[in-house]
Amino acid sequence: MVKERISQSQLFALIIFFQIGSTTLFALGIEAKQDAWIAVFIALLAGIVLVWIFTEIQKHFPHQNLAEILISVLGKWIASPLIILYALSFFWTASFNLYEFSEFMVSTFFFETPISAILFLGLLLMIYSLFLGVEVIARSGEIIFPWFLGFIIIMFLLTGISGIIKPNQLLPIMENGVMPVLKASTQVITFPFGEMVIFLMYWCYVNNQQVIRKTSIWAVIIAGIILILSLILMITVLGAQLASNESISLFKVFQKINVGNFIQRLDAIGGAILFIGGFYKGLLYLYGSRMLIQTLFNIKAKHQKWLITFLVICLFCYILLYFKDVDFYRWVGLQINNKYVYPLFQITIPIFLLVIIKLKTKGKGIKKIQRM
Amino acid sequence: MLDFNTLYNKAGLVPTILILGGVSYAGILILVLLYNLVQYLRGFLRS
Repeated sequence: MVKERISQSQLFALIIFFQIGSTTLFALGIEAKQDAWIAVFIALLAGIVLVWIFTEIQKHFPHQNLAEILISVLGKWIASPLIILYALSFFWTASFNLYEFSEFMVSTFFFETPISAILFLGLLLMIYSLFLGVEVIARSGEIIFPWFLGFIIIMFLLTGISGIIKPNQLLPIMENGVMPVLKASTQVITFPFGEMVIFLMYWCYVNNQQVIRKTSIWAVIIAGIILILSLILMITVLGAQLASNESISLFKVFQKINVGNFIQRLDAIGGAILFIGGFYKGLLYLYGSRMLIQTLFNIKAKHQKWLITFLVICLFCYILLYFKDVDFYRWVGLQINNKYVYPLFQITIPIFLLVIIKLKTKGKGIKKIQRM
Repeated sequence: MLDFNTLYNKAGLVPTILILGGVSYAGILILVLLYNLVQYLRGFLRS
């Protein structure tokens, strides 16, 4: 039986955090230049379809997480290596999130601080959250959410009031035709919208299973709108060229806010927004990885502390050893993750899984396993 | 197109495992899918 429960509003907050999370650090779809916002809009539509696919999988197994679903559908022997691959991919993505936020803090606020110190503090907070469980993570998310959303709205409004927006930077629209926009949108589908696959680990905790699809799709739409608005801000304030060259474009926009030479230097609030989203994203990935391993190996509650400690130590060492610099991190993120890893684990495998589920349920061949 | 040398030597072991494992599993899932499709069609034709 699932003991922990999360509510509809908590799920909504978690999805918004997750979607906005690290994505605000990048100028998504900027390969399409000033049409990047159109690329994100197209990706959002595809993202809604992906969420429909993921929730359709969940609908057949309302009280099971991804590991249990895979075991139910494919059997223990075929499912086990796939569960390990999913756990590894979640762990891998968590390492990306943690690195990018530690690097962000070092490059913007703590110039002299070693990245390991920031990483250590972030991981301490994550260990604490992992010990407390998904219900506490969701409740803390619900408390922080109004502040998070309020800060974003205030920052957007202040950017508008500052008079630094030049709307004609968005023109001309589709100057090179529709193909560059479509090409740019394919990368945005997997990051961030395809990443919703992680919620196959969390939807089973929602107390009202009927609202999962509606809540998730609305959360994705709102997160998509925020992403489109932030992209429009980046392009109209910095211009497409500078937005693509800047490492953290949105942060640069926030630094430019100046209302009457009085309200200025709001980069700390901007940093807080980016950090909250990134923290929750990394946390959800790490928790997902932990739950996959825990479910696969049927690890009892009293031994969880060892699993969490082991995972966090591995993550800390892995990040310090693997990531050489920001350029390497961006290359792996854009050329390896977005092009190969994410499409496999977020689109191909879930689609095959859904077709198999549909065929099996028509033949009534699924035996639902008991939650461990 | 990504070649194995670039993947393993430049990107590292974990992405190599993920990509090769993911592609292999996509193949296995196609086989499972075909098996289930045949089972479904057999049931459908018998009924």
